[in-house]
Amino acid sequence: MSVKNGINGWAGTILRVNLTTGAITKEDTLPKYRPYIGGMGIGYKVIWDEVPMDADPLGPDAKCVFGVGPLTASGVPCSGRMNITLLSCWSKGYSIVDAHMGGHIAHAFKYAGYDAMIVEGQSDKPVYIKIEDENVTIEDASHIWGKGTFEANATLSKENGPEFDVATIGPAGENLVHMSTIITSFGNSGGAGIGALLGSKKVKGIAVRGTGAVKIAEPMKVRLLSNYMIKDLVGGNNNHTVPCHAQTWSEYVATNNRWQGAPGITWDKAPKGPIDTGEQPSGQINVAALRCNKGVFDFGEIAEKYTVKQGGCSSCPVRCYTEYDMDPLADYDLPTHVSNTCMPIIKMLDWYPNHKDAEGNSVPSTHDFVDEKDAKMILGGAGSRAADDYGVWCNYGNLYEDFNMAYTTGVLKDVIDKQNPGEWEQIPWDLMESGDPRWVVECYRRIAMKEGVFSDLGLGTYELYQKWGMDDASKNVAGVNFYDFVNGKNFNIGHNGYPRHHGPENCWQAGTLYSMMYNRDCMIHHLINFCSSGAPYNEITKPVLEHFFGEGCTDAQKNYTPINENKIKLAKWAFIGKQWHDSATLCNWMYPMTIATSKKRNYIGDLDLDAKYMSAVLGIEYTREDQETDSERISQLLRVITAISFKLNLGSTNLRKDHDQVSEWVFDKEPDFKPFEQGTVKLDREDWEKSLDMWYEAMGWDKETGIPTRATLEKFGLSDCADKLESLGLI
Amino acid sequence: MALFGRRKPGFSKEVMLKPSEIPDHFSDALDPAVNKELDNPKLEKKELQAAAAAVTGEEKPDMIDFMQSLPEVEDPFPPSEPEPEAPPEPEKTKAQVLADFIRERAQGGLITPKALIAQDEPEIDALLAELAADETCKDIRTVEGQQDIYYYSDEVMANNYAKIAMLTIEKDDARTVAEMVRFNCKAFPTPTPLYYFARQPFFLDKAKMELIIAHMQDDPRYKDIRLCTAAINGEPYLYSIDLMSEKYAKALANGAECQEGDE
Repeated sequence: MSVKNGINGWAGTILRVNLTTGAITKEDTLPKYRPYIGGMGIGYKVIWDEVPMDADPLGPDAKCVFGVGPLTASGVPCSGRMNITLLSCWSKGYSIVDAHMGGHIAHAFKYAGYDAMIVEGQSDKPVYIKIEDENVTIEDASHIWGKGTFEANATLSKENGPEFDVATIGPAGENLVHMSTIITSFGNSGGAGIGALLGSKKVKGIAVRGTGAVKIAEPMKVRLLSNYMIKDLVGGNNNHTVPCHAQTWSEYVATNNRWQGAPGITWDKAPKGPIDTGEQPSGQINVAALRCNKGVFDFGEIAEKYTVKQGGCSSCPVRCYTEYDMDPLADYDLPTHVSNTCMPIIKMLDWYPNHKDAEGNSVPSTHDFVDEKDAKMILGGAGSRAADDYGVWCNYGNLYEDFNMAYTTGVLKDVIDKQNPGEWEQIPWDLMESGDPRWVVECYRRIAMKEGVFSDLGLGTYELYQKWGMDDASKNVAGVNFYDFVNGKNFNIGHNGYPRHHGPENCWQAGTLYSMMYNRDCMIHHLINFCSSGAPYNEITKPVLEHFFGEGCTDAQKNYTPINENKIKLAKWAFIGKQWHDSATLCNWMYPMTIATSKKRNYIGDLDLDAKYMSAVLGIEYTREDQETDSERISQLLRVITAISFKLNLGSTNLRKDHDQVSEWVFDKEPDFKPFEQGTVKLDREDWEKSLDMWYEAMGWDKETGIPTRATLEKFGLSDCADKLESLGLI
Repeated sequence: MALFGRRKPGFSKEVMLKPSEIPDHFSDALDPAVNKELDNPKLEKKELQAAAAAVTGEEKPDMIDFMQSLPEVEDPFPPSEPEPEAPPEPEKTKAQVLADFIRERAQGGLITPKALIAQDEPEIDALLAELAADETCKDIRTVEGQQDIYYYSDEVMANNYAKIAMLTIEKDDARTVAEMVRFNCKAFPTPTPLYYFARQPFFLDKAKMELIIAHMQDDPRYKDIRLCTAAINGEPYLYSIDLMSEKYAKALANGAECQEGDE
C-alpha cells in the first residue's frame, strides 16, 4: 500500500490470482512496470510477457489484467476508471483488446492496495474473487451463477457488506457469448468480451473493499489543479464547453449538445422534489454536475419527467449517467430503475425496424407510450437494463446494427430458415411489430442464453458475417458485403469486426486513422469532444486547435480538406493520448482539456494538465513530453502485438493490407457529393493512401506493411519486440 | 461507495480523553445524540443549558458574559506599525449607484433600457456621460437596439447574451430569428433548428415560428433566410443562403438530427 511503502501515486503491488492452483501471490509494480505507467500499459506488458499470441482467448492459457494507474484515486477528477486487458475472442486476428469500466471499483481497488490484478488459469467451479485490503480469497459463487448481474451484485454486496464494490458477469459471460460484459455500479460496464473470458475461467465477478489511501506528493497542488480544471477548463459531458440553452455568462449558445443543463431543465423525480439545474457558469465549481442531463440530450425534454438525478463515477464532477425511473415500463412488468449514458440506451430503436404489414406495406414497429416520440427513451430504458442484466455487450452498437441490417435485407430470415427451420416462427415477432419493450429484452435473452440461430448475433460482427455469409456478396440473399455497403448508416469501419467510434463521420482522416489502430472500436474522444463541444468552429475551435497543432490541423464538420502534416500531428496526439488515459487512468470522455469554458483564457485549454497532475502526485517533474513518450511506448506495443497476432492466427505479414483496410462505404457514401465538398464526410481513396503513408512515417512504421521498424522499437526500449517480429519474418 | 469505517489502524491516531479533559467547545454535553433529553425541538435555550449543566455538573455561563469576563491579553502578533485608520468610504456618485443597479439587473439576466433609467433621471444624458467616463464603471457596456439603448455589465453578462436579450425585449421576433440564424451560419457554422428558438430566452413555440417564417418570407430584409429540413426526420432548420449553400445546410441539419457519430 503506497502510503505505507512510501510510493507516490502507485499502490505498489500487483496481485496474481491463479484459478487452477488457487495460489494468490503479489509482486511489486515498480520498477518493472514504470515505463508502462499503469492500467492498460501494465496489461499490455503482462500479456506480452506471459500469454502466447496464438493462445485460445477463452482457453486455459488466456489471462486478463485488471489495472488502474498512478492517477486513479489520487484526488484527480475523472479518474474513476479501471482498464481490463485481454485477448479478443471475437475480432479479426484475435489480438489484444481492452475493456474499461467506470463506477467506483477502480478507487476501491486502489485503496485496497493494488495497481493491477492478473487473473490466470481456470477454476473448475464458479467462484468470485474477494479482495479486502491485503486479504484476497477465492470464494464460492455457485449460489449466484446463472443470475443476472443486478441480482448477483446485490447478493455479493449483501453478503460481504455495503462497503464492498462489486462487479459481475451475467449469463452471457457464463455461456461464453463473445459479446459480453462485466457490470459494476449502476450500469457501468466493461465490454470487449471480458464476460466470456471470465466465464471461461468460471469467475462470476469480484468484490473489493479498500480501506487504505494513495500517497500524494503534493496534495494541495492536486487540489488547486483540480479546482482550476473544474472552474476554468472542463465543461459538461464529453467536455462540451458551450451550453445549448442561453446562459447569461456565456458568449455562445450551441444548437444542440450535451450541455443541456439550464434554468427550467429539471430532475423531476429527485427524491425531495424537482431540482432545477439553473445556470452553471464557468468559474464556479459546485455547478459542474448540473450541466450534463444526458437524458435530455438523448431524448428531449420528455426525459425530465423520469430523471431522478445524474449519477457517475468516483471523483467525477461531470455525472454523465442519467438515472431514470421510467414508469411506463411497469406496465410491461419490467424494472423501471434504469441508468445508462451511451449506446445501450440510445440505439434501441435499431431492434425495432419497420416491418411488413398484411398488405406488404412497410410500417413502423414503434409507437408513443405516454408522450410524443418517447419510444426511443422507453425502449432504451428496457434495452439498456436488459443488456446490463444479461451481461451482453453491443460492440458499440454493431450488435443491433447487424440485427437491423440482417432483418431489413432478409438475410436474417434466410439464414434462420436454412439453418434451423421452425425457429423463425417461434420468435415472438409480434412483440417487435407492436413496439413492445419486452421484445428487446427477449433479444438479449436469446443472445445471452445462446438460443437458436438468432443468438449468432452474439458471436460479434467478424464471426457472424463469416457464418451468415455477410462478408461476401455472393453468399447472402442481399447480395452485398455488409462491411462495405452503403446504406446511409453502416457502422463498420473496416473488415475487423468493430465499428467506427468517431472516425470519418466526424473527424476526417485523423479519426479514420486512429479508428483503424485497435482490435476493437477505438473509443478515442480527443477530437469528437471539441468537434461537438458547441464552440463555434470559426471563432474558437479552429484558432484554439491551430494554436496547439498548427494551421490546417482541423476541419469543420462536413467540410473536410486534404491530408496535411498538422492533421497527422493531431491524429498522433489523439492516438497515443488514448493509451495514456487508459494507463493513468483518466476518463477519455472528458480528457484532454483542449477547449476551455473560460473566456478569460480565450477558451484555450491546457494540454499540459495531465502532466501537471502527474508531477503533483508523483513529486517529480513529469512533462508532456514524458507523457507522450510513455504513451507512445504502449502504442508501439499495441501495434507489435497486433502484428504478431495477425501473423500467428491468420498468416498475415502485412497490417496495412489485412488490418488497416477501411470499409468502402467511407469513400462511396453520399453519392451526390464529391470528397472534400461541403456537406459530406466521404473520404478520397488516393488521399487516404497518402494519409496512411504519412501516418506510418509519423509512427515509425514500415510504409508497406504498417509494422513498427526495429529502430522505432529500440527507441522505446522495446528491442525484445523487434527480436520477436524479426523471428517471425515481419521485419 | 461507503467511506464509513474506511480508516484502517495505523492511519490515524486515536486518543481517549476523560470527560473533564474535554474543552467546553468540544463537549458533547449539548449533543442530542449523546444526551437524549436534548433531542427535543421544543426545548427552550434555558432548558437546554440546564440540561447541559445537569450532565456536566456545572452551570454554564452565557457566552458573551464569559468572553467579557476574560482578562485582556497581549496580541502575540501585533502589527509592526500602527494600522492607519481606514479612510471613510467615499460616497458613491450617482453614476456609480447607477452602475451598481445595472450590474444587479445583469446578475438576474436583465439588460437595462435607457428609458427605464430616464424615468427617474431628468439629466439622463449627463449622467450617462459621467458613467462612461468613470474608471470604476468600465464594465458597463451598451447594446443598441432599434427602440432603445440597453446597458449591462460585461463582468456578469456575456456580450452576445446582451444582444440576444435586446432582441427579445424589442420583440422583433423576425429580426431576432434572422440575426441568430446568420450568426450561427457564420460562427459555427451551422443551420439553426426551429426548436432552438423554443428554448430560453426566446420561448418561441412552433406556432409562433410558423408565423415568423411566413412574415420573413415577405420581408426583403430577410430574403436570405431559408428553410430546409433534415432528411432523417423532417426537422425544420433555418439558414442564410448568403452564408451557406442549401446543400451544405441540409447536410449539416441531417447530421445534427442523426446525432451522427455523437453517440
